[in-house]
Amino acid sequence: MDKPNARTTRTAKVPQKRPPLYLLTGLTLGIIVGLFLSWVAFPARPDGIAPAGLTTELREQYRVMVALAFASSGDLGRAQARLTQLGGGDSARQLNSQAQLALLDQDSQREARALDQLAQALKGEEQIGEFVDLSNAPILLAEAVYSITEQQLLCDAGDGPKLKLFFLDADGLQEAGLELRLLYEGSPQESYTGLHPELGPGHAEFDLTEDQEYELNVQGEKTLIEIHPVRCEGGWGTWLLTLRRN
Amino acid sequence: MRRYIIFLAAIAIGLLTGLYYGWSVNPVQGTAGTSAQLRSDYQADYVLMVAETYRSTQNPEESVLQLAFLGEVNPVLSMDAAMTFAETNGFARQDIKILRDLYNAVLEWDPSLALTLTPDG
Repeated sequence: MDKPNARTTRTAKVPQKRPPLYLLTGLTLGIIVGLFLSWVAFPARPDGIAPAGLTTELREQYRVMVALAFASSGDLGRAQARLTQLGGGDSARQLNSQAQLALLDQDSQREARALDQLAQALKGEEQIGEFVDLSNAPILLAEAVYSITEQQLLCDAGDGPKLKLFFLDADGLQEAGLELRLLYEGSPQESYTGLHPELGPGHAEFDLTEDQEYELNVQGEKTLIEIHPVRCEGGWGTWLLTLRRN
Repeated sequence: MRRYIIFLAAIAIGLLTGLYYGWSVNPVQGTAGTSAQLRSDYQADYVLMVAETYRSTQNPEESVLQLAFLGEVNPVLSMDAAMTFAETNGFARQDIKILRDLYNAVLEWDPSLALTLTPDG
């Protein structure tokens, strides 16, 4: 008699084991109230935030500052760490997009170049070394058609010295289609601004040869003289010059 | 009775989860911060970026405009805070030097900035 009774008791208890829906209901209710409190009633006060917590516009300004600091110091590791703090994923792509937008504004050409330079460095296309102070710059201006508004020597890890130029018109807009002729003892090199549209319409660049002295003619006018390739620690230097029409 | 206690405990756990998610994991986007709310180490690093840029531009006026990002009326306050932070948090000597160079250059460019400096800003 005992055994059947035990079976009966077991089968009688089975229907009473219902899934703990009240537990799920309690959790859901708690989460809903918690989200309401944290998103609506008492939203997080952004005090002591990281750069990633800034508004989109401020993050862009911060990114420009990272790029300008990199253009000056050449410290890629530090720039990368700063970009990481901004969050948002692919830094090189963000820098590129922002550089394209900055190119459209005549007042932000320098920022555009800095952003682009950092993007390229991140992609490994250009490894910039240390910034060299150029208080005694050897490049001279021959004609008064252009003024040098910015001059830097970047120490590349590249395989040879280079001359990179950016031409701006009197309004500060990049000038495309300028005929450039780089003269030296051998045959002259010819180029035009804007052949690399991704670097801006006013951009042009030349490879230089060791122990040569160069002269640059723009639209047939002698513009720069005594351009010398410069060797710096760890590689050759790239002259980066911005010339603005007077 | 036991069931009510478990129910209340579930609500409490849910509440804590919701608060943690809403405040820490995914805070509401509408409260994106301003640059003045940047943490002091990031503010100091921003001033350092301005100082690094100043090294090549030698343009204190531009640096003052860049420092305005931090929202201080007087940029000297930002630079002062950054130098204090740098000195007390083991920044490299070279970084402290370029911060000081910027500080001096800005004051040389506009000495009135030092005169308008007050304890409460």
